[in-house]
Amino acid sequence: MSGTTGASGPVVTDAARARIGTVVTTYRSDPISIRHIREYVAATGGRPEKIGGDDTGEPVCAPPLFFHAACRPVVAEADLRPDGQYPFLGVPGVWGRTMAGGNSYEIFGQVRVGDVLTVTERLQDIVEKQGTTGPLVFVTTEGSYHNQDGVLIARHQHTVIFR
Amino acid sequence: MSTVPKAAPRRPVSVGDELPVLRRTPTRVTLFLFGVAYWTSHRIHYDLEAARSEGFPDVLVTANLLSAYNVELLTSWTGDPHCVLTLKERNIAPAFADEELTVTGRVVELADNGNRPTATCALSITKEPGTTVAFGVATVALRPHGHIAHR
Repeated sequence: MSGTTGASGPVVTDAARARIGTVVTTYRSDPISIRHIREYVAATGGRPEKIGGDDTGEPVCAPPLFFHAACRPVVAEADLRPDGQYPFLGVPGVWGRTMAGGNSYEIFGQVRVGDVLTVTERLQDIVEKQGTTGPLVFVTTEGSYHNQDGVLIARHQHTVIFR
Repeated sequence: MSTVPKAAPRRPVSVGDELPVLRRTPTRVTLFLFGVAYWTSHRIHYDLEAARSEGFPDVLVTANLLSAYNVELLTSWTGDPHCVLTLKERNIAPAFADEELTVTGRVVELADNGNRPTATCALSITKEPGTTVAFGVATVALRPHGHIAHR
């Protein structure tokens, strides 16, 4: 169900709770491009023109956290929620206004131009708390990122707060 | 005739070392650029009315951009763009467009790990007046014998 902003507070369904410990998302990236790496570098304050373009023959590597940007699905505007969020943030069956709660990254390898990454995201936990401003729901997922050779590149644990 | 590259000067790392401070002021344009690269369509990062309707004074800095600033702090310090092994962050308070963010770090632990020495660093992102935006801890790979590039 999309289109719920959760203005009256977060909602957690039993179906969502039942998915704790299960895989909730799998996604395969498009081949990593120099263009996308340059966009990421520019967006994080770096110089995109320094990425690639030399004659060393060395593969172009992405910044350490680029793997996560590479695996963000491109979503049609018609499929976004009214607040612009993805309809599948965290897990289906949890709705509300969202804020970032925290990130945890483990980096095992580098991402290179031409790589294709596959992320498998597992729902770790749903914790409901009473905050000072009202009820809060903490949804934590962990994604494992492998490249086209099956090599584990990174793990990313992400907590989204629904309020 | 091949030339042998000159070894980069190095200096040792100690517990208690402070990392060179990084200051960044992400603007609304920064947030737009990050929204494109990261495909972040959440309105609170670019739509002022939407941000205000949720009780915020301005659009919010994306948490994953804060992560990138922590990575920049660490890689600038070591001189190795791929030194970061782990990074764990907890978001404490929102940061808004045009606020200056101060990114700091301190070495809290060193480990040998055989031929792969590492440093664990406590991280903090703050804004005026003394508000903590995020706490973090990271582990970075050091050069052999626990050195970083000399700057």
